[in-house]
Amino acid sequence: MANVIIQVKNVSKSFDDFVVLDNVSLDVYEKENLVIFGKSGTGKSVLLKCIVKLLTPDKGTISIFDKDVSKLKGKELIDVRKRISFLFQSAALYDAMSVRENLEFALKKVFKLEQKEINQRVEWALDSVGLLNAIDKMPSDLSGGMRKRVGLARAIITKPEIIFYDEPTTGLDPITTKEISLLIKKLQQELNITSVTITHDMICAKIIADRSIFLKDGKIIYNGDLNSLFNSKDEFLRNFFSFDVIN
Amino acid sequence: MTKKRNSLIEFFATVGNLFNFTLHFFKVFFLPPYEIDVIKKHMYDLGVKTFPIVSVTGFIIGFVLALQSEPVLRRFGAEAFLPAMVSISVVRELGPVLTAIIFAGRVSSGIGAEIASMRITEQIDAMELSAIDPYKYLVVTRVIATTLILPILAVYVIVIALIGCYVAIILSTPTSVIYYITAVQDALSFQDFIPGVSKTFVFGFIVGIVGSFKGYYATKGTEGVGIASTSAVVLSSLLILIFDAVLVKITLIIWPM
Repeated sequence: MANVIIQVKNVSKSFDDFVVLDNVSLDVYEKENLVIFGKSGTGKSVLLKCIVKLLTPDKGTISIFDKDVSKLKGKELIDVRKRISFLFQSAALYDAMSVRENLEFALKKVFKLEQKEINQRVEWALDSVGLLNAIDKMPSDLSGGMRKRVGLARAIITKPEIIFYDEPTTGLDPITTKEISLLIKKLQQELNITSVTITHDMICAKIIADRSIFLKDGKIIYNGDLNSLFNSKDEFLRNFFSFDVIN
Repeated sequence: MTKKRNSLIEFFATVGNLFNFTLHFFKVFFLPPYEIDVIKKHMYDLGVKTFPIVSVTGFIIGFVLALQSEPVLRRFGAEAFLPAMVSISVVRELGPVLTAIIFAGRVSSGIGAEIASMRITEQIDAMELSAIDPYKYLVVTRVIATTLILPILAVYVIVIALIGCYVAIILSTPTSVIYYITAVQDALSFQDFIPGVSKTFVFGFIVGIVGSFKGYYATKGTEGVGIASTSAVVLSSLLILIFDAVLVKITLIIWPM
């Protein structure tokens, strides 16, 4: 049995009177690819943001690498964040910087690497996502798919142990979706990365998921393998994954 | 009644949050990394690019002030005092304050919009997750840049305004440059110059910190960028005027006229 790398215990989070997460518990194992499903607004992104300490839960505890996230600050927090990456839905590229500068940023400021190694890593990361020719472009010159790829390159360049993906294929056409998903899978296998992915996209989930959970009204209503989820007898889940839109 | 109470609560919450935001600046100001290159870049982007607009403003301040004052002084036979009157007004008050207001209009709104846009597109979150302190990288560097560049702009505006004044004078009465410069030099003293320019450090700090504050806590998506930009100008202009009144009073206590 692999080690638990992320542990979420009885976590609740509300915004004003609206309960987004309600007593959620979850274990993520080392090197597994966990996919999180759920309707929009059911707390998937909030859960991820609580795990990486962009948000603070109202109740419960979260630990990464056996460290209580709520107690992390200063150097300890930096050390944990050096070991993780996050690919945002919008890719969140720094729009005042070129692709090269986007990729170099953390390596220079946080990892303090030599320029020679930085150059090697930038080339490796961009080559991995097939965008070496876009190295000197600005984010505004890139298409949606290219931005996602650059975001992915930025996520892997620090060689993290965990990557969080917030809807990595949303807004992309089916071919690009498949390409990005295969790329995520390939990189995870090559680099032995643990991943937690939020997606609505079944192509993406089928390619990358080892395990899946389903969030509904702030609670986990399913935790298991993807095939069982797709073939669930539960009416809500059946409807969610149904292609039959005219009934 | 409830609406008024909510507005009042919101106002005090803003003041409190701005105070905490400013306090945090002084907490992290001395900590490395110092990002000298980023500060230089901001000084160029926020300051040097403001020179054209303040040049026009400065010239017009001096020119119009001289045109307006000249007939009044002439009525009392005191037109010889025109260079002295304009230079004291420009150096002590109009130059620094109007430069700061123009600077707030251009720069505070720009900082507010830029940081707000980074906030709503999750660039600030991305920076934080890369273990880079976004406050230090985005806010501290901009505030240092605005604090250092505004005094330079103010001195420049004062010089341009005095040129504007000279142009206005020679349009009505032929006057030699030497005579004008001597008259200005005789009218001005150290006590006029130092307080006037010193307060622009405070105004520069206000422009930077308010713009950053409004951008950093922007919400409501694209609409939030507009709100951050507009409210940054309003709040920083208001604070500049309030602090001007306080600083003038303090200056007069230290250096009585």
